[in-house]
Amino acid sequence: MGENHPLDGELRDLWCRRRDLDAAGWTRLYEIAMSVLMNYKPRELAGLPEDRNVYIQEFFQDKVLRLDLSSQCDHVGALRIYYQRYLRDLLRSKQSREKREVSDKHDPEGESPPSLDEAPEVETSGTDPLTELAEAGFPPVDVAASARAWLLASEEWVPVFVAFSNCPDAAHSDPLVHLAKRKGIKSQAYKAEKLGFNWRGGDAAGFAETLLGRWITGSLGIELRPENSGLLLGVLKILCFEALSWAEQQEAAE
Amino acid sequence: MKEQLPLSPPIEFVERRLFGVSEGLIEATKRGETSPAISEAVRGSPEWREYHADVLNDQASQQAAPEELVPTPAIPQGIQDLIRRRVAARSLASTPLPAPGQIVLAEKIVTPRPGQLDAIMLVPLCVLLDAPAEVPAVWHGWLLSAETDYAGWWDFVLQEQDAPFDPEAGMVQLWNPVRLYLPMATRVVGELSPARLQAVRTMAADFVAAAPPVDIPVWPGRVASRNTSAGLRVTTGSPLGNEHDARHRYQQLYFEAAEAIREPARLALHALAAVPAGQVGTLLNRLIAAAGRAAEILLPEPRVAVAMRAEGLADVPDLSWPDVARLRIQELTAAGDGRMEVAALGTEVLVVEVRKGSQVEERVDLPPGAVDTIAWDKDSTTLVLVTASGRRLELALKELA
Repeated sequence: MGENHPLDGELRDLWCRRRDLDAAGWTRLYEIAMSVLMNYKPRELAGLPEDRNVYIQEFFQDKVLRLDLSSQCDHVGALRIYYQRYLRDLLRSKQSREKREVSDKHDPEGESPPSLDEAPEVETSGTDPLTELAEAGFPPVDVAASARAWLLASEEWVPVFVAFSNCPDAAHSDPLVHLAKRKGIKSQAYKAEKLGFNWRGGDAAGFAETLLGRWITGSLGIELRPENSGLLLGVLKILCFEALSWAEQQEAAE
Repeated sequence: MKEQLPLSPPIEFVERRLFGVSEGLIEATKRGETSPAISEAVRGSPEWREYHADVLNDQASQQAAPEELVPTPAIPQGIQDLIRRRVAARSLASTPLPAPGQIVLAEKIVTPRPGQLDAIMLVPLCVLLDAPAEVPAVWHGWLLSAETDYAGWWDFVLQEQDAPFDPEAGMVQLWNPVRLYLPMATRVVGELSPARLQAVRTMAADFVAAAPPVDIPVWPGRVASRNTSAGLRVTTGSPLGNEHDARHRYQQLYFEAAEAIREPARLALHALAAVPAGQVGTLLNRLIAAAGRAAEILLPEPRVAVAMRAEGLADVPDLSWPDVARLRIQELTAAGDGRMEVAALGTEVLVVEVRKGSQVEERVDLPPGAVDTIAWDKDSTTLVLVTASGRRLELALKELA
């Protein structure tokens, strides 16, 4: 099976050395995977909504980059079969998720607003955080402009992380639009602390040193005090709106 | 529960990777690397038939398929990041183990006696080492996993400050404690600082002492920071939600997967329970631990009755290095002088050396079947046993005195 493909030998060698490959080796393995699989159009792709390069990249991340102890990839045909079986798992996942969604369509709890610190007194106070911001001298339109500027000036992972890992509204948008972007952040969880989102009871002193903390205190000029938690909630609502808008614009541009 | 975006990778993929009849298992079966029982099960599975049908289909469809020259898209930033992190973690691979805070890769099932478990490891598992268990060759720790999208309230998600660490070691599963038999560990892939290990320990104490809070939203896929009860900053997922929260299934899968780590440790603890306390026991345990670090096995074996035996050592077991040697302590003084009988049991020459620094003080070459005695004094530093094929045990003697 495909024993005489010109890439077979190189693929076999790189695959079995995956645990110890250097950056150049990984780059070459990626190039081989893309060149083989972009020429391969299994029928499973018809049941999946996105461009095939998205699934090849997912396959590379979930299968090729993950270590295992017994697989071998002696020829490009084996790589195609691995990929095809990966797509079948994606299809099964999609189908079982669709089944679940029919029986579990709506959960009002999911509509609660995001918060930096999930402060209960803020969520139950009944005060509109945007009004609170305006009354405190931080017009929402100015905060939105600052949020846009901050997102644009940040590293590429920041707006994606904000939008799809911390904004509950992301799940209410068209999931197909965001799927590829959402997948892009799964390897970025190790930067969460640096970004600055806290669960309730998080450390305010530590927050001041995070990317979000520095933006809120430095650019917006809001002090990190317990009595300002309503303002922070308003800031985060605006930030989420801007991050999701950014993501949609990115999607449209592609 | 917050309405959730799909977690990645899909739980179906995680299940296949850990327990399914994967391509790797099928290929291992074809290569004859599995036991008869596993081989029979794999050959009778639907996945076996599907795999071979796929092979035939691929052959047929590719014979006529012309290849186009498709430009290769640039490597996405997320994949570049994973590659950079994996390559950076290679710098830890040669770090001597064990030590608290090390994250080690377990890549094969090792039991005290060959063939005690009819199992095959398909994927490596990462373990964070905490402290030695009842015997030095077994350590307490926690399992780690790569899929941080599935992080829950009791998963410690490693952060940039913990770098370098391999992406396979994305989060410490505090709900999944294990004991690891050290010969299973092959290399270090991460290392938590003492402060970060302390944060893990306090989070583990919180896990034992308290239920997850009810006032935190259930939010699958979100990772954020919080403080432990001791005031240490940690980054975790949210509490688990209802039965539709895929993280329940995820935890079941990894709890079961951890049995590949737990069961060899149980067998090792049982086998090593024969080592007595006291100075001689310390020496035996150090030899066993040294063997573990060298991925070799030393097992205590009851002494065969002999007419002449040293006073006070009758209850001390021998150490068996399966198919290589039998070691019998004959004397060990409080000052650190000692004498040991070594029998070469294998098919190759065994060299035993006592060293003082780089200087060899005493050396015996044992052909297969030979028995000899080697002695050391309080100034000796190292005992070395090495086979002709390069299998090696090395023990620091100075620390025994």
